[in-house]
Amino acid sequence: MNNKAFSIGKGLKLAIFGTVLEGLLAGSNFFILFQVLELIFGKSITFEDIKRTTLMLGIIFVLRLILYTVSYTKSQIGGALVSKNLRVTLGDKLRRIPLGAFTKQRIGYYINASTSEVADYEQILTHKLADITKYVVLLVAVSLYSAFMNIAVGLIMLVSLLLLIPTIQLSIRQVKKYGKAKNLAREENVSAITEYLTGSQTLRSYGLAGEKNKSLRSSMKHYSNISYQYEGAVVPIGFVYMFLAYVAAAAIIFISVNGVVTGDLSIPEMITINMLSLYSCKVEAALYVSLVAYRNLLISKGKIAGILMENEEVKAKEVINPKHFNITFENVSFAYEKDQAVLKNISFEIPENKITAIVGESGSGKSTIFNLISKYYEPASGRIYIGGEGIGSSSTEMVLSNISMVDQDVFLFNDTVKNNLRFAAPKASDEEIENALKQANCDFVYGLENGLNTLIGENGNKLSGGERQRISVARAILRNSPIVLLDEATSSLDIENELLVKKAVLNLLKTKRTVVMIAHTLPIIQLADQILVVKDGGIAESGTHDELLAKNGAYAAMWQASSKLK
Amino acid sequence: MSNKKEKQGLSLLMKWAGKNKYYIYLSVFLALLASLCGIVPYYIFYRMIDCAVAGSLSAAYGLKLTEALILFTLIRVICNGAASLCSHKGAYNTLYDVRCMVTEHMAKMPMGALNERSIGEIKCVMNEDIEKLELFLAHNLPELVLYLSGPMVIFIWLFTINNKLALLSILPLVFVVLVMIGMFARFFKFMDDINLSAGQLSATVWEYVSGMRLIKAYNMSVSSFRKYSDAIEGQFSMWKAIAGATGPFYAVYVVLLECGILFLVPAGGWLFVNGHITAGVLLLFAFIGTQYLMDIRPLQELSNNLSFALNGVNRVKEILDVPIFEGGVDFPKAHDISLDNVSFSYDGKTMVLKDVNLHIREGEKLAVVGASGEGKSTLIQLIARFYDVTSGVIRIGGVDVRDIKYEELLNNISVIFQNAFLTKGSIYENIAMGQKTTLEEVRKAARAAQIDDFIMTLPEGYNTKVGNFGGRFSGGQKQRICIARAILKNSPILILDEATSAADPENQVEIDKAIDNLCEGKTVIIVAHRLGITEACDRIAVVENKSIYHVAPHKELLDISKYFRKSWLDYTAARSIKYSIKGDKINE
Repeated sequence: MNNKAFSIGKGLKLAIFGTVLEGLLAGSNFFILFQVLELIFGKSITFEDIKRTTLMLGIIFVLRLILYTVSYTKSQIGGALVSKNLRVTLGDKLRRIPLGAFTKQRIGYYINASTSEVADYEQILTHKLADITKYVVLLVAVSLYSAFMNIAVGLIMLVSLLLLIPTIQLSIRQVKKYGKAKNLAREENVSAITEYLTGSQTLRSYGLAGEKNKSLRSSMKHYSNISYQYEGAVVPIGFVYMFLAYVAAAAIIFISVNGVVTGDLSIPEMITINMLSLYSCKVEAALYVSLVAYRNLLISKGKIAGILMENEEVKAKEVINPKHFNITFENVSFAYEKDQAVLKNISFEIPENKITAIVGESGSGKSTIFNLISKYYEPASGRIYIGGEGIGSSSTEMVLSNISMVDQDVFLFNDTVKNNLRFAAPKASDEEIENALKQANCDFVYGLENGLNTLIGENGNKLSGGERQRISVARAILRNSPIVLLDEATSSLDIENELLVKKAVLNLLKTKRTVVMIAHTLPIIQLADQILVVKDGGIAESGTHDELLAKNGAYAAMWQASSKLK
Repeated sequence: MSNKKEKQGLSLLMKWAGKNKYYIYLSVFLALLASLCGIVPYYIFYRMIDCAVAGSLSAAYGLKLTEALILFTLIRVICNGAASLCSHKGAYNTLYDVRCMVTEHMAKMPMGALNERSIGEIKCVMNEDIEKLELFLAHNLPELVLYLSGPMVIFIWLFTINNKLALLSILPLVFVVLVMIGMFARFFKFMDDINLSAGQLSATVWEYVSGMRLIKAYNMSVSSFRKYSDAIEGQFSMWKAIAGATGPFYAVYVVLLECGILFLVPAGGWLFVNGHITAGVLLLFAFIGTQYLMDIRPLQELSNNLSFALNGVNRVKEILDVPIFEGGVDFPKAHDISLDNVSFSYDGKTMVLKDVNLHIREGEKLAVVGASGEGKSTLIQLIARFYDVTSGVIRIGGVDVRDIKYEELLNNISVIFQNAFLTKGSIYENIAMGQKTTLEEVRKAARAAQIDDFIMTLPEGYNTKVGNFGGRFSGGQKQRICIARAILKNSPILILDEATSAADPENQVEIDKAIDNLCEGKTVIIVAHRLGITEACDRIAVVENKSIYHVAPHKELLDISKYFRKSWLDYTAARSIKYSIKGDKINE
């Protein structure tokens, strides 16, 4: 499958063929010059001969011009096609990667791979692949042609071409070896810079900015030194190769001059051989440069291939079609990273059409429970049921079709207000959409320049935080799915918006669904039908507000603290 | 993209390079030497033909030529290698210097100017844009010398042999330049399309990847994938059009560079047939005269790289051009703050604050409230001189803040934001922040910040590295470490930007206690998000309609400020909402 994604199209192959042909034609100039040489040293050359030669050269030139123009243009188009296919393949692959993989960091990596990495890969591919093929074919042809005149010369040329293989291998090895240290130093440097910038306000007020910040300085210096060391380890390789290539050329001079002296070679042959050998040196230098670029292409290719090989979601075996929407966790354990269990053998029941609130310290595993219900992640052990049907072997899409989510990271599409709602419920009528907006306190949409048809920008960036949250509530109201997961974060809103969002949520709750909410403040959940207190990866307590207060345990302590807050 | 500007950009870079530019110069010199050696193979070739024509070729002479080629190649390769190492040395040293220069400048920049640029943006300048400079210093500059001087040296040599043929050999350049002009003219027509389509592609890819959760939840896979593939298709058809329009020009450029053979063979042949030149000269021109221009081929790529590097220079320059605050008097002894007719505008057009008058007494605890976007944050940013007022004046202890040494000002006003910043160092280092302080003093501050007990439960106590452990601190714990730091620092003026954090109630109670300890005896300005805390403040200032009309204690303010009265009601209402499945429990 991978090879298919990276395969080059017919157009590009044709273009490479054309380029190679063009290169051979360029090489055939030497053949013609050889004819001229024989005439010159045969002492019988006339201007007629020169004219005929020029005509030949002219024909070759025009042919090259046509061939190269067509091939080059075709290779550019072929390259663009490679990009297109790779991006489509990546896009298709991304749909099949489990949602849990879409962390903030990883999202950036995916975006970068689909945009810049593909572009880098294609750039080098279209520019270098044809060149490399052309150079290699040309060099082999030149070696063979020379071998006809003198077998030793031909062999030396071939050897000097073959030397490129260990050279490139060595360079790849050096790049790997020193590149690792360089990457490490770069990462450290980036993180030192990030730390410095994030804390620049604090650092400045403590007089730890600029040159006084020793740790930043030393990390930048270290990176600078390592970068230089890397070049020092990689740069000389190419020059050593160049030297060897010219030593080969020097050896050919020696052999060919001797050949003339002993009478094995004619003077025209000697001259042609040396022309070819010097020309080869030039081509080999160009080939080396292209190969180095090609080596870099492998890095981009590796990143793209890495994504294409990521684990995919398990194919849905079962269709779930629950009649009820209570949610059951049965001995569920989960860890994002090995040895750091977030949930430990946790079991609980979330009743249908009631509110269950989850409380606990930050990092206690509240949002992990949400991630597992939504099937972003699979539990390490244990089972999760919706309406008695296990969700383990059904697809994420199928599970999510029963769930509406209102959470801290509202995501909106770069489309109109209306379409953003309609994505959530494709069959909704305009009235239903307007009603949902009303329920969610979204009257502001009528004040936008084109009302419901206003484009709201990338991720809804033309709206304020409170407005975006209310749109996401409207979406959930319209979608009307049997399960609602609620993680409302009103902390970043001003008081007016906070009230509007909360009232919108109240209207959402009226639809009487199975509601699971993460509670950041306690008073709001006093009337919840069930409260789960999560602590150290387990359920410490559960019950209603009054029951839990009576227990005088963890929840009661939290409540006490909470009532002290102003 | 005028030429003049380009020069300025690159000469500026050389200025930044400082002493390191001698590495670069040395590298250029070595590259020149190398390209001088580069003509040796051709010279040897020429001598060889000459001898062959004269019939004086001997094995000994062949050996001599062989040795000469090896020797000069060795010199050439060493020069090339040394040039490359020198240029890299100079380049990476310069990169380090430029990075230091930027951080140093940022250390003196007004905080506002720093905050305006997103961290991501500066990060990009510090990492990527500065890295671009290496391309120019270590590669483009020496390569430019190499690509230009090589052909030039050969041309001069050819000129001394036969000036007419030498001039003829550069004829292809005329055609090539014409083709290049045609190519760039066509390419520039696509410039807008390229930028637009690239932007569209990345926006679409961003939405597709970031929105994957929703896309799956709403089963939009097919439609959103279509949007994604449409953007890719758009990009493809644009590049196809560009390839069709400019590809032929580039191809013609490449091949035309070798068209000299078409003039040199007949012209040289005519001269030879008529006895004006030797066979050696004819061959020299037929071979080298037609090849040497090929060396300038990479120049076309170079021009792209050059504008790339230049772009880096300009991005760095943008930061270095931000004016800095320097000089001034010591921080005053008195710590009352007064704003007289203060107005402020970010862009010089829309006023964000207008005619604000406010006096904050020394030791007073003042809350600032107001709807978002009314200018609360701007107000405190002006007091801490993140920006300078557009008109009016802000005084601390009677001294205009603009006259106080900026470093002193930052040092004496502690600004505490909701996002806690910790370095990777130990907890001790994070609280002491570079001051020479005993552990006992640090612990005292930590105790006041309600965090000492927790730190002592850690296996390594105050020596615990935040870098290794950071993920396991809760938001509330991090915040309290920051408060301990501020307690130890003991600056007379405090600005708190207090948002209801996501800390759980027990942690929040501790944080509140810590903040109370911190505020003791200080002049405190609190941007209040939780209106509840305003009751404990001496006075409350309401920012509305870009100014302050009401400053009063809580009770009094409820009477005089309509905005505050409504907010207080909203606040009480929001706090008393209780979610229930019946959805109607709201205690007004």
